[in-house]
Amino acid sequence: MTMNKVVYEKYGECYYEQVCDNGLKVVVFPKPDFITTACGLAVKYGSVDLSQDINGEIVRFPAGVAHFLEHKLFESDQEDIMTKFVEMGANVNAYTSYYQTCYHFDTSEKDISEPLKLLLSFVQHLDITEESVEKEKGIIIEEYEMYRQRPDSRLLNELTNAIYHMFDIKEDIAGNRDSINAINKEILEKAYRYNYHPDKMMLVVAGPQDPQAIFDLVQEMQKELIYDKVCAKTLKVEEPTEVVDKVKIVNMDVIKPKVAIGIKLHLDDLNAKDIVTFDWSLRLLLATYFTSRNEEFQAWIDNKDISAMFYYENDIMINQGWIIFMDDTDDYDRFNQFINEQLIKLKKMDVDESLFKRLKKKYFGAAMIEFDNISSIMNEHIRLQENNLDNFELLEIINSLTAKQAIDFYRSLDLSNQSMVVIKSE
Amino acid sequence: MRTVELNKGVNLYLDNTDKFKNTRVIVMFSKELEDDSVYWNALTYMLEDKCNLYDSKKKVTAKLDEMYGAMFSVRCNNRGNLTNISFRCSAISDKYVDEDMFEQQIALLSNFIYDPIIYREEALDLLDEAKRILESELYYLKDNPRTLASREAADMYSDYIGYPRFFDIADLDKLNIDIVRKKYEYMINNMSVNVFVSGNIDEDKVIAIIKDKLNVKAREKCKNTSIKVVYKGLVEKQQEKKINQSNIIMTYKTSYELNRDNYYILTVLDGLLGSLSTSLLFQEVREKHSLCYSIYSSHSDFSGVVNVDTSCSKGKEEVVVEMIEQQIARIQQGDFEENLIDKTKIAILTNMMKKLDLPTTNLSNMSLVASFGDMFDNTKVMERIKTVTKEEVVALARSFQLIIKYVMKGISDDHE
Repeated sequence: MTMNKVVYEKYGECYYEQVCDNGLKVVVFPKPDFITTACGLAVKYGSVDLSQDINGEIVRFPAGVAHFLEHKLFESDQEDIMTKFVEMGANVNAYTSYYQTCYHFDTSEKDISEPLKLLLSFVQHLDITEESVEKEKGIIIEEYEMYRQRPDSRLLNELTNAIYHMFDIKEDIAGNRDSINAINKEILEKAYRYNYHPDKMMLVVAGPQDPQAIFDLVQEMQKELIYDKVCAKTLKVEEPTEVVDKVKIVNMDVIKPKVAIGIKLHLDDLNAKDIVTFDWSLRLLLATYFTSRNEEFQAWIDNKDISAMFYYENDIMINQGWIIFMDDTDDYDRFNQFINEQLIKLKKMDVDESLFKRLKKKYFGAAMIEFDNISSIMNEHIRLQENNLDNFELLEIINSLTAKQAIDFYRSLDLSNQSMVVIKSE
Repeated sequence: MRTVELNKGVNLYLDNTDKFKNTRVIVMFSKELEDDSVYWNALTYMLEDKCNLYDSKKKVTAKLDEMYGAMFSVRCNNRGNLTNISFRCSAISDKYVDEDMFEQQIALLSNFIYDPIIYREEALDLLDEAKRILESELYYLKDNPRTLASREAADMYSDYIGYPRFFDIADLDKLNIDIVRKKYEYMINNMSVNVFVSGNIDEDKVIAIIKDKLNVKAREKCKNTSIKVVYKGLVEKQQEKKINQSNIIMTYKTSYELNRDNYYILTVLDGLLGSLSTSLLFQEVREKHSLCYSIYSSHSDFSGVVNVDTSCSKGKEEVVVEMIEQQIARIQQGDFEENLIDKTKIAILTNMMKKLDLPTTNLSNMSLVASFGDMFDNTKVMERIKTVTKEEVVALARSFQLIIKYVMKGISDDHE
């Protein structure tokens, strides 16, 4: 089977893609000038995939199960997987996000067939014991506690808890002490069996490799793979429009109080293109207002309305979204009031199209920076595939956005469902 | 890497490569380390914020957006016995857009270096803003247990070796515009300068533009030396914090001296101890005993000290410390498999090869070589790493002396 070549002359880049007979997608970015190859195998299975329909059976998994699996896949009774990669001259690692789990390695070896085979082999086979699962709980609880002692990651976690009733984004990616302790061998095997399907997987390679040779090797390996044909479907949750807590105070041993304001956006079901279009419309619009592109930004600093720690972001998902504002301040009520005043002001403003044009130049440059880093190419492609896009299609979408479209979308949003979370000392 | 002398004591280092779509430029001013980091940090914020041509944040951002999201920063950091003030600008290569980007990059750097607004009246407001930024950053650092632990241990280490501590909140009161201006003048007129350029470049054009637009005057090079660590016994400190985990940092002196061959041995020793996933600390403390999630060691290229850094559940501090010491004792006794040295060397070489493909680490290595010589040159390091033996590693490990032990003891029962 020959790979399809996707060319983007404007950016001096291309990639090859093809799907194996069993559904595993293979993508290769040829980068002949680089020494290193980065290779990632991503599974569409992340921390939010907790309530699932498995062949008609409704299953609720404990929070943190995808992350626990990520840890346990590195285990084999025959060999230490990490050490094996090292012996092959490769670095291996993994991460779990809300929607994906990704296992990746990089190597400067010219022939990557051995580490590639090992990657496919250890991700596509689960080999665990009750004893090893119990032992791993200690490490995972330490990881959970390590992030929990950091005020900024705790703030974000408390905010998602204050916003969402049902949507499992409210759970920490690692789960919590109780859910981690509730996970056992049987649960992990069930989660693995019905979620680690080749057609939910994608292999992305970036480096000085022959794309066709990579695909042929992967295709050959997939012929031997035995897997359950039943595939789990994550249930769509009915999330109320209102937030759980309008105000939540969390005590931690901090000098400076930290505040986060989360605006819960309730949206109709969106297709992948709309998600990206709305997400980036909002991103560009907020970048014109809540940064130094706004004439008033310097006055906000001078008046101490915001500090150097001021931060914001937005994220649009299938039928949900949020805008977050964070800062470190003693007067969090004033910050809350300030942000709400600005949100109203922005609704009444007209945004200059030339500012949008400038921002498009900026994001074009930012995308080009990604192409200077082999691992970024691989990771970005995997991340964008959550919405079935590649980096170039994203740039085309950004280029098509207008200030009018962005402000119209913003004006259509109900911004009244808000949570404020404050972390401060007792 | 090609080196061109722009003027007496002023070198330009060029890394011409097709690999990258961006061109990165660093203009680095260097001086010997003194107890004045608060002034340099305030100055760098002021220099980065605006200049006479782009005299507002809005104008600076507009210019950078127009340059396809070019990145510009001014940073102060300490490296060995040197304080470096780096002006950095990276932007997309001319080859992908129909504009002369490199000329714009150098013009931008020139404006920010030579034409700051620190002599204007509003510089007082800018200094006040810089103070608030530094204060916010210090609070942020102190509110994060891991960074606070690192900072506490670093202060103990500075006291130990007799070097100035990094500034703290009380030092911000010392800031005044006259001293900041004097520091700037010293930087422009006296500090050693190196310029680094990496990207897909036309070398002759780059040299001509830099000579014309940057025009750095002749000056003396500053002296680069190693940091001497004299053993004065163990210094211990324990603090309590209302968190669920305890954070531990242990610092070891070694017999390492900069410019000696044991730089390569130390790199392998560090990999064997804790800087890699194959290391004894990772395998024993984390994997075998599940006592922590993060445990690692790191070493200083300039003083040879080795740091071990971890966090564990409260109440397990003593077990973890004992286990760290056991791993060091194992290396000192040669109580590990011979092939672990080979695995460690492979992993180090793999990481180094990867760094050759990363534009930022590549530039960082160029500046390290420029300041401290070719013992840090990647090709040389990789060749020498291959020859390190178990005996050399064991011998260097035997020189370990624990000098700093810092424990931040968690005392909270908050589990959910």
